[in-house]
Amino acid sequence: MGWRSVIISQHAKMSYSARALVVQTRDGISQIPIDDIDIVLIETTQAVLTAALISKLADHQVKVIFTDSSSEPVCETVGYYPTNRTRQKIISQCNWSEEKMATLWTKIVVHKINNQIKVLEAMNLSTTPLNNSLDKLEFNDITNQEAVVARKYFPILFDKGFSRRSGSTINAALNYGYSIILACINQEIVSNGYLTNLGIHHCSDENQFNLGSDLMEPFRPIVDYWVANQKFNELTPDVKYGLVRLLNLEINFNNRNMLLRNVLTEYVRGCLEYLVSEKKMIKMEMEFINEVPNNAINDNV
Amino acid sequence: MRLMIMFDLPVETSDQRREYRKFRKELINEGFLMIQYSVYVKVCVNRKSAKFAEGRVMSYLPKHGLVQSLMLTEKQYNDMHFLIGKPVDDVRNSSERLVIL
Repeated sequence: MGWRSVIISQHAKMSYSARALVVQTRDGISQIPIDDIDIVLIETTQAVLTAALISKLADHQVKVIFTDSSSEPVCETVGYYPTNRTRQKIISQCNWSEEKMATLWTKIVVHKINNQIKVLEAMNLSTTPLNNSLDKLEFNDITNQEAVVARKYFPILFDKGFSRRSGSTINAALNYGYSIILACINQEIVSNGYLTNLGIHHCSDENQFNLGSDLMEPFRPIVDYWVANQKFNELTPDVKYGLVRLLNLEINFNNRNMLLRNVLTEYVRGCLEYLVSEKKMIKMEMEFINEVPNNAINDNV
Repeated sequence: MRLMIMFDLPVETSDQRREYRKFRKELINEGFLMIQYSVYVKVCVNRKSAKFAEGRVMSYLPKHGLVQSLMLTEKQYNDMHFLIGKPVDDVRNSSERLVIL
């Protein structure tokens, strides 16, 4: 299981040697053992990768995310053959019980809205418009309170005229952060042996990552919170690195303090287990931690 | 956590030299970094993975010589004094979770 996120930000040649990713840049040659790597984010269009490297990264279930010339994430690698994808798993995924999917989706929406409320509270903003929606929430979110809340929440958090559809810098930063989290969730789904296409609520034919889009919902507010706390006029590299660094943020999940990246692992595994097993309950309690943890000093190793 | 492997291997005969080369190469493939001659270090996420890495080293030990391992916490390792010389400047020598190249 890898733990390093590698960002390639400049002209580079990336190859494979001695079970390590070898990156040659102007600054010299760096080698990083592939076993340690979790994600490779290629932040530039001036990188060259060898085929050997890509196949080895796929073997180790490492996500490679590519960006376009405006350094928006545009695509990611998805392994064909995770070690444990079986016919049985895919059949079970096609036949997940409607009731369980609906229960899980309800739970996800509740936690998403809860986290959005926590974000507003942490920013000392009014949460009253959102509280009503939480009371109106029905099973499987038939009344689509998720969207209702989002329409109120973003203008409160950023500014009155804010729309998620505009091409503003804030949106660019949010999308950037979301795509990193989505990539991690997809990675977990695939390494658990399931297909990312078949979701529990999202069911778009164009979206290859329906299930990922479903499961990532509760974590969006974490990105929102970080972006709301920053002051920036354009999407500079520092902002992007900060968004990737969010994966090392410590949050409290089911009464244990964990790094966000490890929370994603545990959370996705929990959701998938719930969908296929006889379990009646699923727990996903999240709390933000506001004080600086003492292991932040040495980066949690 | 850091796992440190220190060794002294005999290099009299060509067989012994071959054993040494194989062992050293295997260490490097395993992700160890040479911080000085015959002292190699690997960053591990926690004690469990350090124990696992040690077990991996056990599986390709040379026949003769002396190989020692030592597990250190990140703090202990960073408290190392450099009486002369400088630490190796390498990604594998840092425990940063985010590496920007």
